[in-house]
Amino acid sequence: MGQSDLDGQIEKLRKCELISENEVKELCRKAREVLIEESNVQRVDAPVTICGDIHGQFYDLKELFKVGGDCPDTNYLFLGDFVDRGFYSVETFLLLLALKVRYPDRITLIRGNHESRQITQVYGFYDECLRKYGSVNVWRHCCEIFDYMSLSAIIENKIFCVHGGLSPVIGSLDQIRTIDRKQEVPHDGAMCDLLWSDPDDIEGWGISPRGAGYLFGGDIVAQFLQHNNLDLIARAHQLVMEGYKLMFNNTIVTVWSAPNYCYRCGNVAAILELDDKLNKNYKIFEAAPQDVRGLPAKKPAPDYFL
Amino acid sequence: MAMEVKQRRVKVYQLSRESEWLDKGTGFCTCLVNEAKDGAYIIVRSEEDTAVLLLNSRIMKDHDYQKQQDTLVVWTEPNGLDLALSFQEAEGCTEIWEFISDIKVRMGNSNSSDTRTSPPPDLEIPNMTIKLPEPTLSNLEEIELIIKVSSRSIYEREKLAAFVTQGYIAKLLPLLSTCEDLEDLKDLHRLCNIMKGIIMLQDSEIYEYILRDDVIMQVVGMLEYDPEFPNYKANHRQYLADNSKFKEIVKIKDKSIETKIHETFRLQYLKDVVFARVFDDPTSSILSSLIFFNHVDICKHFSQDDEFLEELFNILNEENGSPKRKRDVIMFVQQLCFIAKSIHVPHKKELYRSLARHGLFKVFDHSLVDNDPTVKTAGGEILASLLDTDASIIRSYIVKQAEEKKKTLAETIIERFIQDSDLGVKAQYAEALRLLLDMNAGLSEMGFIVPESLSLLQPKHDDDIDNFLNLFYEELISKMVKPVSDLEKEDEVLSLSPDIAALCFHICELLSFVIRQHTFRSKYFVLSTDISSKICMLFRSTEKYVKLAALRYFRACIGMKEDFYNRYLVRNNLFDPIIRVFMETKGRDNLLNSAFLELFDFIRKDNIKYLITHIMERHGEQLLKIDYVDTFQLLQLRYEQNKEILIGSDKSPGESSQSQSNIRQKGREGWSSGIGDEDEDAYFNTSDEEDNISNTSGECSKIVTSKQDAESKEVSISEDESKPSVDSKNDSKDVSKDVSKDDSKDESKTSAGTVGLVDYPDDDDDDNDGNVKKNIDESVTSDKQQTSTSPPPLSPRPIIGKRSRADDDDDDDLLVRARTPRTATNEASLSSNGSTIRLRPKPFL
Repeated sequence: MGQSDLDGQIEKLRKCELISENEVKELCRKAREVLIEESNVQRVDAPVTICGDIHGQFYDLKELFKVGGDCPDTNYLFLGDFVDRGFYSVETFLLLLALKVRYPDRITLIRGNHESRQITQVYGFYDECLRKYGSVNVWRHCCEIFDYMSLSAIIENKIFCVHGGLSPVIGSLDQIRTIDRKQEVPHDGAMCDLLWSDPDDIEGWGISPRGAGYLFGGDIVAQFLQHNNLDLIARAHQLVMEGYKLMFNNTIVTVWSAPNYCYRCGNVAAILELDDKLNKNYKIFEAAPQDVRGLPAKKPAPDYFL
Repeated sequence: MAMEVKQRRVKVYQLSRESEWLDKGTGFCTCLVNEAKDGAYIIVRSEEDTAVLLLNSRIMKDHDYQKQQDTLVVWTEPNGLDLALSFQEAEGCTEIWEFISDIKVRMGNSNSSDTRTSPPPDLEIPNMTIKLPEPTLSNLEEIELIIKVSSRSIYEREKLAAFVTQGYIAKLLPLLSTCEDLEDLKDLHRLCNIMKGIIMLQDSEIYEYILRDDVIMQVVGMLEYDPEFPNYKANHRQYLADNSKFKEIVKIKDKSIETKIHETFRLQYLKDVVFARVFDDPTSSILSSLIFFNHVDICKHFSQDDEFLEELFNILNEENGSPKRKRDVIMFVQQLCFIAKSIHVPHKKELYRSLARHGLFKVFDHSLVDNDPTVKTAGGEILASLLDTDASIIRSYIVKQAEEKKKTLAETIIERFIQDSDLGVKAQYAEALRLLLDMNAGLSEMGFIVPESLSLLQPKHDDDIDNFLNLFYEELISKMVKPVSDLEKEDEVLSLSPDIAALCFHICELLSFVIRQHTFRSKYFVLSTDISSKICMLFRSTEKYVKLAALRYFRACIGMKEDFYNRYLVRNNLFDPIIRVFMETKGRDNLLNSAFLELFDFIRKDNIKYLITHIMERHGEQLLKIDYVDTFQLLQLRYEQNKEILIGSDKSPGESSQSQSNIRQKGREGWSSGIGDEDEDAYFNTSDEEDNISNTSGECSKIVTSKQDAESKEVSISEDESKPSVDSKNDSKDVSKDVSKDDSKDESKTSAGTVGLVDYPDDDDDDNDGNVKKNIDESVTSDKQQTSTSPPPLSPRPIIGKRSRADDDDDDDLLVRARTPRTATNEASLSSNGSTIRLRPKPFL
């Protein structure tokens, strides 16, 4: 697959058009080569723009690029949860993946709890692949790629970025390095916690109501930051009506980038821009207007027996 | 207004024709006396929108109001409707009740006959019924408005739906062609909105009507003119009118089923195409449930229609039958499997068993080797759904084929797996093989959801499983791994075609899987063939992911924590290539490097002493030069600690490690001589994993336990030390090494968790975890704020959230709360109040 092919695919995907199953296969092969080289704590240089959950809201992702600037002009870090719930998980994920393959140094994708075989079978991505491609091979290819995606990122050694949060078995960043991430998101353990945990107004650790990961308090965050000489934890994973939310004396921020989540929550979305001095600038944006969305791309079945 | 009572929160219910109490909404109840109009009214304003009245009932003297329990008032309206108010608090109920009684007393004092014949409640206040005017071109705007307004409350929607179902839609339909003839776009847009509004009333009777053959076209015709997309004109009619889309391979004799099939197709179309943009709206979920119920009926029908299935599968036997028709059979079965995916497992099983009885397996003979990728994929999907539901049917079938000396389906699958150049198809077959080999229905390992009911139904042991495994290990596995065992020794670099690389990858994954899943058979395979050395060659592949897969094979062996594997790895110097490739990563912080580090970390944390000793003594020097992580410093430390303990044991008198090892060796003699029987095998496996607890069963284990607590460390280390000599004499002796793990668990906890500590879910949870679904999804920050005043229960540790089935409702709850955090919880308590009595409001459908 040459660069021009790839550019062609990106163009298509930007218009919310599907690429062929063979192209997906090839794209995933390329992406695997790129992602396998990334570390569990992927290093990212500033300036960079941090984005939270997208959840298949393709037209809102386009709004995001409008507000934050196009890739590769802007350096992006996406904190996972690209798929499920929204209407265009396939297009959304493939576009981001194609951008990753095309501009590996200008966009970083880390894994969210929805980048999993189990979760996608329940929350929509599986069905969407089946509906749009007529078989689940595209889903298989994508899930295979999920397994290669990095688990976290660190910006200029100062800001730790992860989808969910901290883990009681992870005290230092070095410990994340010794995780073999090439697997389905497990039910417990460090890798699970990074993708599932949430900060909460408690002391120490708590049981998570999600059934996976933990709740962690401000003291835990402070300890982690101090131990690893960090300033901030940036994470996503929780809907925030205001788009972003700082907690624990500005030591942790939740960034949420799916406006009007599920097309009905009425929230705004945010991205966090960091300049080369790591100064923060939050940009708020709203859902794409109805007329931009166009007619949905759901194609009905050509034939039916049943 | 003379009198007004304080507002009270209340739920309004109405008794439906089916004698069910329907929830009409929650609101605030007031009573007012309107002296000018000479009446008293009970009024309930919706709490969502105070402009909406949920109830406006005039208090009549002869109404038989009943107060039930403390929070309920029930009565019958003059028009026969049974209504009920369920109060949040008893206090509010009492207050309103007193008000009603008071008014009734006062009415009794006035002219009673007057009240009885009094005119219906004032028309200025919205009435109990909602009517739409006879539709004409001139009043479409008005109709549109009424529908729009009344769609705001559930109560009014119901009223309107009740009206619409009395033949109103039929009156609307002719207007479509009139407007189209006039090219009156404005009115066409209005018609579209009206029809949308009617569909959004979510009334099943309305759906039943509009899906009819003679109605659906005009309905979707109206929906073509969507004012939200004035520049698009959809062509729903053209699409649906094309009857060629329905393929009937075998005549479906039951007309009602055929109707259901068409109906379902239309519903699907409405949901996916026409109403796609109102995704996740309640309407969409009602359409989904209608589709679901139709699917259930259709599946049920076909699983009982023997005649149909016989005829269907016979098509595949026709010698001169058209290939197209045969392909259609496959596509039909695929669709049937697809709609069966969502139905309940027992029904699904029944369907598959019925299909299997009538010749389902013939489908695979035709599809798996078809040149048409669609048919091929369809065949694979059918196979996957069947395996997902009930792999034992296929296993039994394969065993039977083998007994009849026929080429088995398993062979076909392996052949296709190896020969098909499509990587997607390869992955599909790799998955099929894995499902076939999965004895625990433990699909969860690879991320497949296992409903608990399924794993319960699955017999853990039946003869066919054993027969199948025997067949697999005797004949099939060598075929499956052939691409790997065919690898030739080459130079430094192994360059594989993408095709072979993918195959090698899948083979490594499958082998890792069987090593974990099957106890002695896979062990025997590994130990008795040169597969490991072949897999080592993959380390020289140019493809990193293949290297990684090879590594994961070895990681699976080490993960078993069994002496057999450990000794095998050491004896064959398999750590040499592992460490060589690891050194080649040159400390680059990437996935491959991390996977290696994890492997060494695992050996250290689980204190697999034998391996630690081997690694550090043979490779320590080069490994200790690695300073980008402290993994090897820690490993060295562990090595030295292990040695120290050993020295300590030498000094303590009366310790006869030698005798102990002899006893143990004796106890396990059956082991080393080859493949033991399964029970022993099971014993051997568990003893390693479950610390000394499991050792209390079985004779030989008792001996081990007797001293293990105190001296296990010494014992095993001393064995390690004495290993070389023993090794050379008799392989069987050192099998018994390294049983003790009692310290390793604690160690792994403390060393891994420098941040402190909750009780980390440990082995004891593992059994459940296999089936646990993480179902609670996004919780909501703003919501948390609300509840944070009452801290979550941290101890004692209940297993909150570890629920076994995905349940969208939970999730939605959280979403709802995101919007109106307080209301939702109140509502919950309120409705539980109401439901204690005879009110049992049911959800729609």
